[in-house]
Amino acid sequence: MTMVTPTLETERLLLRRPAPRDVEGFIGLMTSERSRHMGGPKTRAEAWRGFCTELAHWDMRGYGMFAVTMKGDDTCLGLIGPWFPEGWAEHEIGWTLWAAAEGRGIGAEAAQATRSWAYDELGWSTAVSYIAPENGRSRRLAERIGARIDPDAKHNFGEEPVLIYRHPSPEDLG
Amino acid sequence: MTTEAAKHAAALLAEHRKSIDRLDAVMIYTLAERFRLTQDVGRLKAEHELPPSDPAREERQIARLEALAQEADLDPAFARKFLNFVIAEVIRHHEQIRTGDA
Repeated sequence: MTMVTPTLETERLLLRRPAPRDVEGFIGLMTSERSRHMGGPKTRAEAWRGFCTELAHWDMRGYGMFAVTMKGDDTCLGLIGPWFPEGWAEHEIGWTLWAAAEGRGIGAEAAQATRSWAYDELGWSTAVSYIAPENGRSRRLAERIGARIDPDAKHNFGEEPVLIYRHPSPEDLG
Repeated sequence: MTTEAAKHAAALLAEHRKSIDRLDAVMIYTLAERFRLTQDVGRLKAEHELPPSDPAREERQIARLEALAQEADLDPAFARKFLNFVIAEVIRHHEQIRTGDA
């Protein structure tokens, strides 16, 4: 497993390891109605702890979700990338974008870059995204970047209704 | 409580329970009918190579049910969770029909 902290570059974006200064955007999202597809809304205190998990995932796993920024502006717009906390059945590519970043294709651009990175650098052979059925926006993103619902995939969320989108494999992507 | 009042309460309770039992039966038959229909839709989609799910339609359905729940004085969060559950199940069926697992 790689120990360097990578920075990924796409056409418009710079993806870096999240830092304490990114916390407010995360709290803003998780305390709002928009977070209802992700188990929210949370209290400010719960959201803060959630963000600590995002940061610590990098130490615990050697990777984690990337802070998404536009080139030339360090402001974090969301967290996107490989996610595999304890209890997850499979490696996930996760995404959460703050409201201000929506509708510009940023999610797709970042998700594809981090997926490639997970395949190339972490050696993942497959990845899924866990999405609530009602989260149309997120499902459309998954479909736009080639992920398809895998009806046979297992998850550990109990009775929680969740759709499991499976991403194209490294071979599928060529 | 007097014996008379206790008897009356017991009779009312029994009556309510009967109604609840009938409503449960209505719910089960309604759900069974709904799944029977969505299975047909799944086969239709598979035969005509249509996508097994339609996020935009499902999003609208959930919003509609949430509004209905509000009107009906039912907890909208509960309604949303319930429809999420049904939709996840239906999509799984459709995918299984499409890939020939069902």
